[in-house]
Parts: sequence; structure tokens; C-alpha cells
Amino acid sequence: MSFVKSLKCRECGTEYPPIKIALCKKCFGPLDVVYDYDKIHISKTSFDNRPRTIWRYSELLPISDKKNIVDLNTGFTPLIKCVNLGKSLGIRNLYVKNDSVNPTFSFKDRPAEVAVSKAIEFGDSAVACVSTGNLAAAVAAHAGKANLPCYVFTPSSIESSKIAQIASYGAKIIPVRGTYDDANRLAYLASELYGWNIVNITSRPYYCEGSKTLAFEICEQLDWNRPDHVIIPVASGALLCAISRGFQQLEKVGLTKGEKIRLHGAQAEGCAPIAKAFTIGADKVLPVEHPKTIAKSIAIGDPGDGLYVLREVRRSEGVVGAVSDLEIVESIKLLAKTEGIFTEPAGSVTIALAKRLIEEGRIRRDDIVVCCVTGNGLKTIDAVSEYTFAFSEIEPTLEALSSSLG
Amino acid sequence: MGKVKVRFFGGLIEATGGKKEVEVSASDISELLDEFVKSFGESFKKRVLDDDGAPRPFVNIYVNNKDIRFLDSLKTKLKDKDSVIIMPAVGGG
Repeated sequence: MSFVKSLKCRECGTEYPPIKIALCKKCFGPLDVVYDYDKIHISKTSFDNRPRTIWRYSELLPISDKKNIVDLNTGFTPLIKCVNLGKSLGIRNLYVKNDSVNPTFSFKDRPAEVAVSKAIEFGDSAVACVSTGNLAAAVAAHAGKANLPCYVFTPSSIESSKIAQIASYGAKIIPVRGTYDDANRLAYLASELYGWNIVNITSRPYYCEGSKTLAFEICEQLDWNRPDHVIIPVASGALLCAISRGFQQLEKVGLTKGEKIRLHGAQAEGCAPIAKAFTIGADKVLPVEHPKTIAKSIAIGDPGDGLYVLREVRRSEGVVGAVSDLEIVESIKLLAKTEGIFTEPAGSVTIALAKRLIEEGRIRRDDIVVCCVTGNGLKTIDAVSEYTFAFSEIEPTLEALSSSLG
Repeated sequence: MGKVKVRFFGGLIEATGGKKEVEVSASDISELLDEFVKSFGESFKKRVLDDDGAPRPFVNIYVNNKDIRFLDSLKTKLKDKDSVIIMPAVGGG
């Protein structure tokens, strides 16, 4: 059973019944799922015998009938205490939320699992999405499991490893010449003309709900304590807003209470419209026409939730910062070398930003810090291999080995 | 001054009283929006424009598939046969 009460416009407050709707009809503002919190009765012990997936929090997810769930075992990924990395950066309580080990190797399995399940609930005969690659893989895998046709719009420049992954799940790829925003516009027009369920547009209120399970898991894995800082990669900004909502909902149902959690958004310098607005104190986010960074997963020039990232980060006294491609590569190597976690550029922006915030004294030595590592390094080998290693082969002799070891 | 084809999508269609496509003569986007306020009235103005007459944050305008924020915004010039799209700003990502 679902505890969803309504969908509510974040701008003008207009409420709608929980139907398939992308935006507020009155002002085009985004819609959020509202739950009937008075009817939700859960406590810390409620979770003892529940599945170790996102569905352990089913009271706070928008699926009415469990039989509609397309379950790939998404979620409940490890929260790893990173002693070595923490020591290297100069703090004692550093954690990585390792979402690179989800079924399709990124956090996008969370929103995709909710969105494809919701598509089944709506009776859709196909699903689609627009994506820089990770969401496309996640939606394609879930569509495959649900036996639904899947169409994905991507910028044609995404990594070849991601294209191979998406195609393997059986999705029809529509590679669009141009940026993510070009693909996004075309996908929207297709949804209007052909009635397609582009899950991150057409059923966006439900889609966004999946990502907030990251916040639920972080608190549960800290024995229902709240971290002091959470550092989150920011592209459209939907993830940061969802995590913020997740922390607020845990308080509403009485599972956590305590100090403020500072939310920090990490962008890549080559596509940092929100970080720029934050730095100059602006309320408007000016789009970037031509993103240029190795962190292609977060190269969204016109971020739909940009205004709300600014709002949530300022409210929580966090920052939105941008890191260079060089810092990104260095952070990939540092995380891999110290903790054995190999992430893609979009995941390592959080490590790079943590380093900077520690150096600036914004993060103190004993603070509890969680970096969200959102995607797997094997997805982006092309992007980083030129920076990360070079080798020349040797003859299979001990002499050659000895001289190569120097 | 150009005669341009304008297509409306999503909730914008309600702001035009159901019209999905129109042909209008205007020299730039600002003038185009003035024309629409004249023909579609308050409903269009309230949904699409802010108090300064600029498109609201959740409305995007494209000329020949290019976002006007990457052109000259409201001063973007229009010429014959240009194609204009006005649609809600959708999230993505």
C-alpha cells in the first residue's frame, strides 16, 4: 500500500492527485511527492527483517502495489569508513557511500527502479529516458527485466563503454548530435508528440523519489545518526535535492533528529553553472552552452534543479564548488589507491571537493563526512586512461623485469 | 521583421487557449511576446512572463533549436522562416 497523499508544486503549492504528470500545470514548477506522515508508523526496529534494497523503505516510496516492483536488488550499498583516505586528507571520520556497486554500477539504479516500477503501475507499454549514460543503463536494465521496450536519448559524445552497456540491455539508443541539453529538449518534444514516458521528464516527481534512499541508508548505516557533511555530485541538481528531502523525511517520521547536515554540491569546472551562481551570490543560474569536462555524467549545462540546489545548500550552510579535471583525476587515483574504490570522474568530484573544504577549514578534523561516490570507474576508462597510466611491455626475462623495476 | 512559425508545447498550449502553432511577424523575441500578450491576453502573460516581461524561469524559448539565452535573449532578432519553440523548462538529469 502507498502512503502518497498528493503531488505538490514546489513553487506555487498547487496540489494534484498522484497521476502521471511532469510539471505544475499552472506555473510549470517541479512537483514533489507528499506522503501522509501521520499514517506512517516505523521505528528503528522495523527494519530488522527487511530486504537489503531500497524497498526496505517502502513506506516512503511512491509504489502502490508491490507486485509492480521491478527489483534488481538496488540499494543498501556499503557505507565505508575510509581510514586511509581520511588520514591522507586530515580528518578522522570520512565515509564513502559506494553507489558504484549498484546493479548497473551507478546511483541511477535508485531512480530508475522506482520510475520503471511506476511505469508498470501506470500501465505504460514502453519506457524512455534522456541521459549522459548512467541513467540510460539503469533504465535499460530495468526495462529488460520488466520486458518493456526502452528508448534512450543520449548526447552522441558519451563514453563507448556506456554505449556498449546500454546496448547490451537491449535498449534502442538515440544518439543526438549536441549536448545533453539538446538531447533533453528533443526527448521532451518526443514525449509531447508521441506520448512516450520519458521517465526523468514525464514521470519526474516519482523518478526523483528513488534517489532519496541514499539519505535513508546513510543514516541507517550510521546507526540512525546524522552526518555533519554530505558531499554530492551535482549535474541537474535532482540528486542533491532528493537527498535533502530524504534527510527531512527521516526527521518527519521520527527516525532521526539532531544537528544540521551541511550539504555540499560538487561540479566540474568545465560545467559549473550552479557553482558559479553560488560563488557570486546569484539567485539565477545561467546555463553553460558548451560543457567541457572529463566528468561527462555531470555535464548538464542547463540544470533543471539549479535554483533548488542553491536554496538547499544555502539553507544548510554548505557550499557548491567546482573542481578541475586534474583534481578529478588525482582524486580518482587517491580513492583507488587508499581505499580500493575505483570511481568515475563524476564520483571523484566529491573527494576533490572534500579535500578543498578540509584545507579551507570548513570541514573540521572530527566531523562526520560522507562523500557520495555515484558511479563505477570501469564505465569511463576512455576518459581517464590517458591520465592514469602508461606502460611499455618487457621481455619475459628476469633481466628485463629487474631493469623495469629500476 | 520576419514572419516566423511558433510552436507551443506542454502547459504552454493552455496559455494560448489551445493553439499549438501560429505564424507571426515580429522583429525580435520581445516583440513576439508582446504580440502574444495582445492575442492571448492575461492567461499568456501570467503563465509565461515575469513582472519585467521576461520569460519566467520555467519557460524556455528556442530560435532554430537554439536557446535564446545563448543568443541575444529577448533581443534575439527574427527573420523570415525562423522556427520558434516555446516550452516548459524540463528537468532532465
